[in-house]
Amino acid sequence: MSDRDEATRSRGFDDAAIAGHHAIGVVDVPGVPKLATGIAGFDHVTMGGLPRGRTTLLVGPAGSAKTVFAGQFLAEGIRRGQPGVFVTFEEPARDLRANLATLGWDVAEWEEQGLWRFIDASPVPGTDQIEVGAYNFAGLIARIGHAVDQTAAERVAIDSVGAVFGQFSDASTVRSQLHHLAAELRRMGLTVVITAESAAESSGTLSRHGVEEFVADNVVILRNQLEDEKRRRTIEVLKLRGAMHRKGEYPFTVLPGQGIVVIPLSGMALDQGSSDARITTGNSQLDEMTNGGFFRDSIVLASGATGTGKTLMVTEFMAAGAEAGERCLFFAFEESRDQIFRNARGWGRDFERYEREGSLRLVATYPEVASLEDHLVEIKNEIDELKPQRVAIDSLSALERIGTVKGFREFIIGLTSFVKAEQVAGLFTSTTTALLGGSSITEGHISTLTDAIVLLRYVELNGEVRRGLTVLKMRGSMHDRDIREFRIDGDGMHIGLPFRNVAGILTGRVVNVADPFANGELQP
Amino acid sequence: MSVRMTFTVYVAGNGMAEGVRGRLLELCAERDVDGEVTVVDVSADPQWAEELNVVGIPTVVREHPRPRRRVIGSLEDGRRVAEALGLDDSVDGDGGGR
Repeated sequence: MSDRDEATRSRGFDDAAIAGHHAIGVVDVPGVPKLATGIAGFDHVTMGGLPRGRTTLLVGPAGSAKTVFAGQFLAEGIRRGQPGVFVTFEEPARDLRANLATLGWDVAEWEEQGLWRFIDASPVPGTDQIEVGAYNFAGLIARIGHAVDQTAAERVAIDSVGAVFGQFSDASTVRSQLHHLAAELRRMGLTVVITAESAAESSGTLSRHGVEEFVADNVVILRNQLEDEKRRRTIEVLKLRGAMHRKGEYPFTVLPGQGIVVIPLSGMALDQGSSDARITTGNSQLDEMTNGGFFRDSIVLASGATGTGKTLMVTEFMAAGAEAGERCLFFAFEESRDQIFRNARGWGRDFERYEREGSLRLVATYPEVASLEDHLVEIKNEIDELKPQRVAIDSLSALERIGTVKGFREFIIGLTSFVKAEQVAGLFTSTTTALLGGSSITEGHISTLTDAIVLLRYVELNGEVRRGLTVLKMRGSMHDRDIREFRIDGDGMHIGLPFRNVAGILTGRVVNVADPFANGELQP
Repeated sequence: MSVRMTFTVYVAGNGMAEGVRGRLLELCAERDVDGEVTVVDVSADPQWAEELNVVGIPTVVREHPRPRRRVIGSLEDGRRVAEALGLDDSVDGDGGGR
C-alpha cells in the first residue's frame, strides 16, 4: 500500500491527532489494534498508539524522558478505564509518584482507587543480596501477576532494563529471565512498555544490553542530542511489528501538565480546503495590490530589514481584524508588551482597548526563555484556546536564533501545518540581515510553505533612503507586480506610486535606468 | 554449643519448597547451627514477595540474628551459601540465642 493510500485512509484520525484530541481508545488499523498513549502527536506518528497485547521497547539515553513516556502511557490508560501497573527497578515508587505529579498525574489518588499499582523493585540501601546459584524471576512474575489481578490492569510499564542488569550480576540469566517475563506478560494479554538505555553508537545494538531481540515486537527510540550547543529531543518509531507507522524522527518536548508532546511534521494533510474569501490586510492600498486582501486561510510572509515596517504591517493586520470583531492572536518575540502598545498608539491603533474587549490577545515572549519545541507547543495551545481568525508572529527570525537549522525547519513546518489546519489567516515576519536587498535563512525555509510573500525594502535613491514594498507572490490570485514606495506616519503605512526607471531594488543594488523624476511620477 | 538462626525461604510453587528447605537445614546441621526455616510460596502469597522486594527465586533471608543476610539462587555450593548467610560466623556474647 502506498503512503498516499495510507494517509487517505487514516485522515479522519490524523485530524484528531493534529488537534490534540484522541477520541478513540483502540484504533482499528487492519491487522493490529492499538492502545492510545495519550502523547499528543505520537499517536499520530504510530497511527493510533502502541499495538495491543504486545511489548514495546523504548530505547534512549539518560534524560531522554523514558520514564515520563512510561508513566504517560499508564496515565492515559487510566483516563480510558484501563488500569496499569508500573514496575520500577530504578527510582523508588515515592520519587516516581512525586515526579509524575509535577506532570499533572495524581498517581497517589489512582493507587487509592485501585487503578494503579507500583511494583517497587528499586534497590534498597543495606539490603544487598548475594548470588549463590541459579535463580529465576518467578518472584517478580508473581508480583506483577498479583498486581494485574488486583487492578484488572491492561497496561504495564517496566523501567528500566538497565537497572535490572545493575541489580543482578549474571547477565545471561537476566537476559533469559527478561525473555521469559516478556513471554509471560504477553500470555496475560498485557500491553507493555519496557524502557532501556541506548547503547554506544559503535556497538551495533540498540540497547546497551542487547535485549531488543527478544522483548521487542516494537521499538521506539528517544534521542537527546546536543547540536550547535542546543539540545534537541526526538522520537522515532523504528518498528511496529505488523502495524503501520510514520517514519522518521519527530521533535518533542516535555511540559508540566501535559507530559511528552510530539510535534508531528510529515503526513499532515496539506490539502486543507482553501477559501476564496478575502480579508482586509488592514491597509487599503495593500488590499488593492493584492486584488482584494489576503485569503481567509492563507499564510503570508512579510520580509524586510529592521525598521522597514514589518511590525507596522502586523499592527495594521491585527487592528483590522479586531475592528471587524474577529479574534486576533499576536505573538511578539522582538519587543515587550509596552513597546508594542506604544508603537501601535503611535500609528493610531489602540491595542489596549482591543485586548480589553477580547478581540486581541498579545503574547510577548523573549525567545530564549524556551526551546523551539516549547514555543511551538505554546503557540499551538494559544491557538487551540483562543480559536483566532488571525494569527501574527513577529518575528520568525527571532526564533530562528535559538534552534538548530534542522530544528527551525521542523518548527516552520509544524507551525504552518497546524495554522493551515485551523484555517486561520497567518502573517509572519522575517528579518533580513542586509539592510539593502538581501534575503534571510527564514525565507528559505518558509517561502514554499507560504501562500503570499510581501517584501519590504530600503531603497537608496539619489542620496536618500526610502522604503519600497512589493507583493512577490500570491498563490491563486492576481496581484500588483510593481515595487511601490511607501511612507510611515502617525496613521500608519501609506503606499504610493511604483518606483519607475530604476532597477535592482530587490537586490539592494539600485541603478538608474533613467531619471525617475523626469516624468513627474515620483515626488522626492 | 549450637547457634540458633531463623530463615525465610521464598520459593515459587510447592515443588521447590522442600528441596530448598531441606538443603538449607542440611547446611545448618553441618555447621552446628540450629536452623528454623519458614517457607513463603510467592505464587500463593505474592504480597509477601512485594513486602520484601523479592524478584529472584529462590531467595533466602537470614532473619535472625540481625543484620539480615540475603542470598538468591540454588544452594548447591555449600561453602558460598554458608559464607553469604554467615553460617560459620562465631557468635559472641549471648551466643545469638533469644
